[in-house]
Amino acid sequence: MKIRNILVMLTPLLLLEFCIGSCPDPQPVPFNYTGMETFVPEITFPGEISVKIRLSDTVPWEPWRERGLAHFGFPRAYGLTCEDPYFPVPNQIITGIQIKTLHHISNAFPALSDVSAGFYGLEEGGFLFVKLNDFIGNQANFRARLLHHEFQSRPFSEFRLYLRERVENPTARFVIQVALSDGSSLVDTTRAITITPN
Amino acid sequence: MTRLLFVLLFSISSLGVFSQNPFIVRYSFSGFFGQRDLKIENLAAGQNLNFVNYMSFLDNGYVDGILYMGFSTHLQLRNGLDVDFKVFSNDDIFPTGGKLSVQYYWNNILGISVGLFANPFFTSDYENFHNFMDAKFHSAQFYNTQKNIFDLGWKVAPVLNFESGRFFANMRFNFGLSGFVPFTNEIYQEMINSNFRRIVRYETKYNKQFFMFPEVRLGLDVVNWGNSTIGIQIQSNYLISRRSLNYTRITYNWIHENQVVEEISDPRQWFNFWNIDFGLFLKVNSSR
Repeated sequence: MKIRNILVMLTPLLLLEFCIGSCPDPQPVPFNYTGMETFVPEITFPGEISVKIRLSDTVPWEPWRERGLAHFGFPRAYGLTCEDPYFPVPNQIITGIQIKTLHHISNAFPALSDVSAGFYGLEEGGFLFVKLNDFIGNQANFRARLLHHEFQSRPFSEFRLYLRERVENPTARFVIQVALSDGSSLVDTTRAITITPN
Repeated sequence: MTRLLFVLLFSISSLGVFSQNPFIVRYSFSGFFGQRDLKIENLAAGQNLNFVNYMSFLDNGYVDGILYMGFSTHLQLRNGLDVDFKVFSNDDIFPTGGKLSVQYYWNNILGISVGLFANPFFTSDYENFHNFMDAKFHSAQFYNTQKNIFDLGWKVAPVLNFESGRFFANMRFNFGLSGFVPFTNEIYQEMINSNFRRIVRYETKYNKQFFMFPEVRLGLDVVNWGNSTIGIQIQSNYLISRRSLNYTRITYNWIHENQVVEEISDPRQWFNFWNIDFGLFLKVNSSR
């Protein structure tokens, strides 16, 4: 077989490559935590209270528009689409979490007391909990992992905290304040949780 | 299977070498097929997990009697020594257990044997202990609850050997010390309707315990040609012992700190098994 014939056979492939383009290396895009939301169950058992905390950027953030992929002639096939070429990385890290209970929990944690010591965090892939201080201390590592390994497609960070104490009151509600490394802090009050005795 | 074939071919191809060797009296190779059964005294469940209660020959729990097969080689030297090596499967075709022993004979009848052995067992389904005892928990994850565990030990035995015409008999009254090879395992539990979680970690120990293990091998020469003989054989043995599997139990509650460490010694219980198998042997006598 002549070389010319081989080149002729390869030409469609070369043209296809030109039309599709190649995926760019993903780039980190910084964002700020400017908003905070808390999520709690409406009804739960006395020993099963957990709070999901979401820190996010309230500024519209659409990195997809910035995709500069080159393709020519016809749209990209679904199976050949690139991963998001940009991924968000927060500018701040969490430096402290303070949780105050609005209702009586137990003798150790009466109404309006600081209940931070009663909460645990749960790290990704872990089964047992970690103390809140250790959980916060690991945030810097978490951010480093985001930068180098994990591509997050949405500009927010979520985590869940678990109350160790058994709640004696029929209702529970918390005020959560998150301190950030730039000196700012975010506050949110959870919805009221109805406690079902078991 | 490939390994077995290799051993078989190597053994047969080596027979010519053995038949010329001035130090070797006899070399034999045998293959056998039989049945084995494990009898464990079943103790009532206590507060602590008793691994021996959950032990079996198979990975899917207790079964009355299983089939097994194996190969053995036997090398008899002129200075009164002989060496046995035996491998056997556990309801499978691949060998998982074995033994190696050296015998010394003062005369044609009386001798002494010293050896090592490894018998395979499984500890299976012992998560049931936690399912029954910890009703307030559900087990989130189990890792390797089935453990292939070896009973590893050494033995000494007076040996009686008889050979008369085409018939031979070899009896060994083994006794010695053995124990289960240690393993670790973790059980992850979440309390129902609660945030409480815990990990129960087991670290077993190698406890040497006494056993008796009489065994007998009977054979009959069937076909002779030149220095070689093919015959049939029957082997049987019975292990008598009282066993426990002691361990350290480490319980992590909520977090990986302030763990509770307990040393658990389970009561000893009868742990017996027997084997019986039939097979063919090929025996080559030295020409010198």
